[in-house]
Amino acid sequence: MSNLTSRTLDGRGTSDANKSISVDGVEVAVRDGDTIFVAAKRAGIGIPAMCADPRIKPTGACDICVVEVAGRDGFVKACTEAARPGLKVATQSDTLTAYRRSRLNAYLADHNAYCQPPCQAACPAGIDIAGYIDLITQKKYVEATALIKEMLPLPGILGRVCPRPCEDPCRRKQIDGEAVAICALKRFAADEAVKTGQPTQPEPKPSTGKRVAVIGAGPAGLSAAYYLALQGHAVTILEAEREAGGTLRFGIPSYRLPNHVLDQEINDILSLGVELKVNHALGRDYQIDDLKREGYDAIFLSFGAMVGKSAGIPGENAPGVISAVKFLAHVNWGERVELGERVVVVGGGFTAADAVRTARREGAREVTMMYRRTKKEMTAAEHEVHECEVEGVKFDFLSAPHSIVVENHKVTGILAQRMELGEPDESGRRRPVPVPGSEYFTPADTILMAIGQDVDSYSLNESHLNTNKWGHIIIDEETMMTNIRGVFAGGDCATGAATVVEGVAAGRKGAFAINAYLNGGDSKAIAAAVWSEKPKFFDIGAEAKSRARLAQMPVIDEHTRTGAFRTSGHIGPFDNDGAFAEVELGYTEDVALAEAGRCLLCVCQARGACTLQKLSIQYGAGTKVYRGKEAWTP
Amino acid sequence: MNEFARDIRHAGALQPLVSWPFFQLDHAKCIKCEQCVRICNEVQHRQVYTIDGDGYPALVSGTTDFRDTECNNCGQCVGVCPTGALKDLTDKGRLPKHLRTKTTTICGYCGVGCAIELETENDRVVAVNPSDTSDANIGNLCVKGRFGMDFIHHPDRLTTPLIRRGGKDGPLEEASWDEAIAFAACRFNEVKAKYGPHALAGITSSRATNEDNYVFQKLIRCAFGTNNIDHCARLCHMASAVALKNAVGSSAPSASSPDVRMATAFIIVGSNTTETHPVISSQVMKAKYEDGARVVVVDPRRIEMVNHADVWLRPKPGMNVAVLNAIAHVMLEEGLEDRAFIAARTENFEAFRANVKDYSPERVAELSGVPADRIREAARIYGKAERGMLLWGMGITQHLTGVDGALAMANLSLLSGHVGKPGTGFIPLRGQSNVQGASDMQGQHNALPGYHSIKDPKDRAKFEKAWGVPMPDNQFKTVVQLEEGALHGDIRGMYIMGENPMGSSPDIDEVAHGLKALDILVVQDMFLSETAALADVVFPVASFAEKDGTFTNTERRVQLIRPAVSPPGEARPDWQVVCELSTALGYPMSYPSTAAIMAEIASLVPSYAGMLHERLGPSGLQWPCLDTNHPGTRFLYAETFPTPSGKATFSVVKQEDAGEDVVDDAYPLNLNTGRLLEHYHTGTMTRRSRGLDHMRPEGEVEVHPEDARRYGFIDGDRARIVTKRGAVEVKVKVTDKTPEGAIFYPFHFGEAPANRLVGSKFDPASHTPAYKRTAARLDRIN
Repeated sequence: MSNLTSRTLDGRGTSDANKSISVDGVEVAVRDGDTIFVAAKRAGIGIPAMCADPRIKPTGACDICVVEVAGRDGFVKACTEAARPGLKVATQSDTLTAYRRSRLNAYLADHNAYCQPPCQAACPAGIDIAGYIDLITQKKYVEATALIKEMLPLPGILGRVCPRPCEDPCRRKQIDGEAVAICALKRFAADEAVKTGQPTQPEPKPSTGKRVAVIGAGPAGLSAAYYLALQGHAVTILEAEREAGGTLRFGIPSYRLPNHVLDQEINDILSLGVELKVNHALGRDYQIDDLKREGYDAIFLSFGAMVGKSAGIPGENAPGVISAVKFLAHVNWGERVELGERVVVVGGGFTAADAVRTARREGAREVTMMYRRTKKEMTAAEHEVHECEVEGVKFDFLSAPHSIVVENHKVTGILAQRMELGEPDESGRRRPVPVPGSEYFTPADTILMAIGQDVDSYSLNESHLNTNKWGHIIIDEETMMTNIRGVFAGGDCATGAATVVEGVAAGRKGAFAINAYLNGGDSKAIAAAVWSEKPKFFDIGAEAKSRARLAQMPVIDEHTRTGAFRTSGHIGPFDNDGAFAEVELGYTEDVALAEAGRCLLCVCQARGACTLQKLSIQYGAGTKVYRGKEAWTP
Repeated sequence: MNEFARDIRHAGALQPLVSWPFFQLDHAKCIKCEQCVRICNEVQHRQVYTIDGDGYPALVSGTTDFRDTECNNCGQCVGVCPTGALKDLTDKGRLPKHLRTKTTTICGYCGVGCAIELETENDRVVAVNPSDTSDANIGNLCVKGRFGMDFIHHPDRLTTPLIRRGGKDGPLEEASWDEAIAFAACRFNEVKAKYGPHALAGITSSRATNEDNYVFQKLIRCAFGTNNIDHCARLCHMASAVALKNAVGSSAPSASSPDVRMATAFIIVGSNTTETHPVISSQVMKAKYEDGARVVVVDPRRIEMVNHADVWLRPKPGMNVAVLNAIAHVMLEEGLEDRAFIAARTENFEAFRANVKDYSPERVAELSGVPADRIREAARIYGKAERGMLLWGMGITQHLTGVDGALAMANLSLLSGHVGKPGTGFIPLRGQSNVQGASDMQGQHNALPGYHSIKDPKDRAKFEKAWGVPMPDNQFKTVVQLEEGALHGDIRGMYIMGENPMGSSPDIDEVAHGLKALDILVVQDMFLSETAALADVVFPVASFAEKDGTFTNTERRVQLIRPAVSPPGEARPDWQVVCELSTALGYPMSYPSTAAIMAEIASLVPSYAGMLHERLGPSGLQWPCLDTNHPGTRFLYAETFPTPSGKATFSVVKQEDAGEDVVDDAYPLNLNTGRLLEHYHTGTMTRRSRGLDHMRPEGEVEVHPEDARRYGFIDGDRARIVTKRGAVEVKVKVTDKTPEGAIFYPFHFGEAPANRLVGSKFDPASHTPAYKRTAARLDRIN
């Protein structure tokens, strides 16, 4: 509010240089009729308050603007106390802070609301989830898809393959135990939008005349190309393989992600004027310096981490031991891979889950997933593990490979060792510890290794790029820039193998960084462009509420709470024709609308402008405060 | 809270309080600070909120719909809520508030000039906040300013120039800027070559900036070579301007918002302040309820301000002069005049005194229907006050005797000495964002910018030197005369910037004939208005949120507007279009920025001499601002009046029947026209605002219950208002807001335009049309 009181605005207050009070050791001039609050504010000293509006007569009702006055016991309310010349006022002290915090906690106890939806906070891409679900309830599927595309250009793909970190913290779980099916709704919106044929992406801005090379057409590269093209830059994607898609095409089996969906969304991006050059491999066909010579103004490296890690155990190089990524790539190319009857897949992540299910489809009768921890620690998503179980995969938990048994140049099985869980490691999961003397033999015709992926070091053979001990490209976290000016990197090649959604998010960040760079921004401006794109979030007082508070949430429609929507229609048995047809068929409109109706839309319009939020963060009130990486400065 | 209530609340039984489609109050986020309740009570003075037994805000109606209360959706409660409990339903933003782009600018609606903060995302305005940076509104805002900005992104916005390649009967087709400018320039030059420069004319807009208006009048005078220019202030406050120029030497309002806040007595005449200038009305209430000011309201309608009045005078329509003279009569009779002020600073007092002697309250009571003791009470309130303030609106000016009414107001101010001191003065309340500035830039009768005389050789020489061409010397034509000229073939080509005479001018059927008869009509507007639809060339232009420049508000406060978003499609700011057209016409004009235009204005207009853009801070500067160190002027006439003698002049004005359209047996009702809170002028903007149009989707004619009974109408009936000029079909609203024998119909509704009913008679001195008095009848529709 105005730093003048109504009275002084009217010209009736008079200023007298001799009259002043001391606020936090600063001499502050006072006018007739001033309160401590008004005098301090005029001098630029803000006293926290919930109910200070100069248009309304102060009452001190909020009890936050308390200050200490020398010679007075207890606290004084600054908004009602006249600023008598000579007062010595302290606005900050430990006891004041404790008192204000207790007052704020009292407000929060009856403030049954959330600043930011936890799903959006958990989403690496920061999608406005409540926003698109709200649009779905209004049957505005094109708009919903367009909204998703502001943060994520591949909604149909992610709607099928995303590991759904957003659903884990969903508050709906607190009510009826089942999160809103956020991911499936995203797929539904995207599929419906495609059916309408209406555009879901904006027109690119006028051409800037700048050229950007994007290396690798995987999730990060496609995402970077999309947002760069929208900014009006001329983008060329250089892809080493025969087709664009990267992990999406070679890593993820088509029963999860059909090729037509992939092609559709890649074509949408290319339709913005993005040029795609396939069979162009970095390190083999060209070097980074070549691109600079060709006149590219900036380069984005996003060629992923596509090489299977080796376990370093005896017999690993024998025929019949294949890296799971290579196996999946072959299958995705339509090549027949002879697996034999019995297959053991080593690993417990996404690739392992894809490998076991693909092996089943390739005709293996007995497929075992060998994992050194337990089901609880698996990094594959819960629903994917469930699918594996449904499809008849056996699990061998707490078991690690010791050596591969080879007879006559042919794999006959694997010698494994029992593990037990020890102390948690840095990832928070309990470290597996070998049990001495527990080795045992498992027969197998083929062994698929799915224990992680590395960056292909060959790509960087002559690049002068700095890499870390794992071979990942080192980038400045804030600007996404590598040690070479104008060369940026993001996605798996910079972070190590991660999820598709993290790759897409990194691509978008990279695009914003490059856009700022091309607009002549210094490292600070680039960092700002990368930083500001992700909404900051807070969640004050949002610890799981007591039963009574939960009951205040919207009344639940009984037919929406069955939680049965996730069941997917299986194609089966695994005959040759239908084996790779899409497993999950998506929602019908009725089901999607019912599911969208379950969303609590826990988003507050006032976030960022809310006084309660600002002061609660400042004074550490509330039971739980998410601040993300970036603390919010009021 | 008892257990039962707690259970009900926790079961979600407490429904949100909703003011659809503007805002809602969700109790779950409420912290019971009562700010909403108090700003509504203490600033807006409305009976809306109460507090329930648990300390939560509730509605006095006991329901959950704000519509059941006096709420007029100003949204002040939304603005003060320290949490998200009060939610702005019109907010289209997705980002958290602190991550949105914010642009402080000035509201483009009425003449109060409120500072607002536009929140934008992806080049779209998603929300509006009040801004407390300007003294004009100190953080207050009304429903239009807060919730009525969605016209900015309305799909009806014009995005490309349109021309009629196939002649008058052809369709309006999309064209490039180059083609459209060349087309317009060629046709204007043809008319000029064939019929001479005075066959061309321009009408400019009080919604455009000072800079837009300045270059526009420069085009008319230099490129067209004629004085045929006017703007819509002609239709509203020209009567006040002419009267004040005669009485005190300047047409401007003398006082400011801070003066309104500190006045101790008000006379408000013919101004429905709470609806037409809501933020000024809240400042009047502040003076009344916080500092005990007393309020006299003179209005035939039972407007909302009547509820806040100490005395309400309800004269018969058109009796302003008699009532105001009677107030002067009482002041003289009871010795309430300021003799020292009269002696030192005024002239012609004796003639004035002799004139008002005839207006005893008793005689005027017979004439006007206002009881004599009420007139006496009003005179005492104003005469005895420490600081008296006069506010008036269209109820004074839009009569055949509009100038007389305004002169009678000026007389009261001089008689009481309530002028030239803090907290005193008079403000004719300006209806549009830049009425004052448009007048300053373009002048009145025979005037050049800054009220330089077009007849004075010295003034002419100054502008001929600055602009490099001889000044035209033809007799000036006003809006209504220009439109008549078009009808009679005197005017052959017309350039209209941001005006919609097809809604705003009287007798619009005739206006339409005139505009259709033109050889060339060029209209530049945001929308294809009723007028633009008749044009041969339509230029799409930027809204106030898409350009920069300055508005001069009703307190002479010049404030900067700033672009928050880009114009849609190929739309451009008005001044750029005007400059290009002028160049194509053969008078090159080009400015690098609006600041450069303002610098030229400052060099030519003494009262704007210090108004450089870089000097205009959060509260702007009030003219006169005589040099680049001048702090501006809050109130005028502290020491002298800008007349040759330095003194103000009392005027002798008589209550006369100037041949007005009086009621008779065939047309027994007096039709009064005016504005509503939710709409703005011809509705081109507010009718395209979802919320505002939801509130008032159609025009309703107010009919007194006695008249309704007499003519057989009930609330909600359809009726046809018929006058000698035309007829429109509307819905009937039975209310005692309007007096018996009179009906009121707002002029915002293009599908049933009030101005089809109103004749083109006007006040002879100011040419302001008599919109307030038309004889009419109501026909049933079966």
